[in-house]
Amino acid sequence: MTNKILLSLMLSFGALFAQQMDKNIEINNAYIRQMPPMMKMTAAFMDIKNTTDHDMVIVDVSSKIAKNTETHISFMNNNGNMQMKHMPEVILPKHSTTHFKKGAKHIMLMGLTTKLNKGDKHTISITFKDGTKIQHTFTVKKF
Amino acid sequence: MLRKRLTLIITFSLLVIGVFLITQPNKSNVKANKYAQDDHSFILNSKNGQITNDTFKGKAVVLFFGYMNCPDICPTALTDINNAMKDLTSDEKKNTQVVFVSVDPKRDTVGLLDEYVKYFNDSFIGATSSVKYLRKLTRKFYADFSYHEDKNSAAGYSVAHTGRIYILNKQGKLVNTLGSNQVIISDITKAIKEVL
Repeated sequence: MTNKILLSLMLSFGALFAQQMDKNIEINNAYIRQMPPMMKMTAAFMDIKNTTDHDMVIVDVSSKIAKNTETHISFMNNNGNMQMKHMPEVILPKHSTTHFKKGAKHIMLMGLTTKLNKGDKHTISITFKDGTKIQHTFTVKKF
Repeated sequence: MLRKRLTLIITFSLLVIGVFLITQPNKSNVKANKYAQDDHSFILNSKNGQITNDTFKGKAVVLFFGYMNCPDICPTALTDINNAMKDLTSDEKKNTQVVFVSVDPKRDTVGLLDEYVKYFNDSFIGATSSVKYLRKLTRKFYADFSYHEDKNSAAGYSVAHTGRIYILNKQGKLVNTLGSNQVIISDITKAIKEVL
């Protein structure tokens, strides 16, 4: 009986926390780029808003549709060339929106395990430094 | 006497201004002249065989250096170029050739390149060559590329490359370039129309 009460309390607490986390982080315009069919990698983009009064740090991203998922950034290097590199951590400043967009930060999905059709919806999980994790639905777009 | 001197000064000044204006280069040709003396010939391998400037003589050529494992800049550029072509007339489309040149021949075979570019537009051509030749070719276009390993990433190596769109005229001469990042689609259309 005690175990059941404890379990119920834990589940309720977990649900409340998840709900709070959803309010702390708002994600909009989340989409995955559709690539030529034989390509096994692509990029995902989003506007991610940190509504809290402290910086949040993304330390991991994952998805069932890819063997490897990472945060990357495209940038112009010192030679004036466009380059891309892995960003193991992405800081989301407090009270602001960070744009994962073309020519800038993006989520790289590598080793795709499924074909991406326009309009398909897939979940990407985002883990933060404090251990919290959220999941968000991204839509496949051809653009 | 004073009046005569003033008249002489004014006449001489007008003459100097006139000569100056006549000898100024036509601004519309300045951009073309900037590249016109350079050699932008190319010999590349595509799925359908070797392609050179002569292959597309009489057509505008839109050229971009990139690689297939690029999830961001390259597909964005090819999408933008395709969208720019939608505003061309059907004759203009027939007389425009887009060539995507891969600077990653290790991974991008001509067969895969052909399949890759056809996703964006059936008329696009994918081509590549040896790294040695690509180094010479990109230098001709004031471009370059480099490979970057990241042992902490599953991406393997990435390729840094000049992200510009190159417009060659019907004679195969480079006449214009546009930055591909945040490019305005209508600027690409305009640049193509200018050479047709």
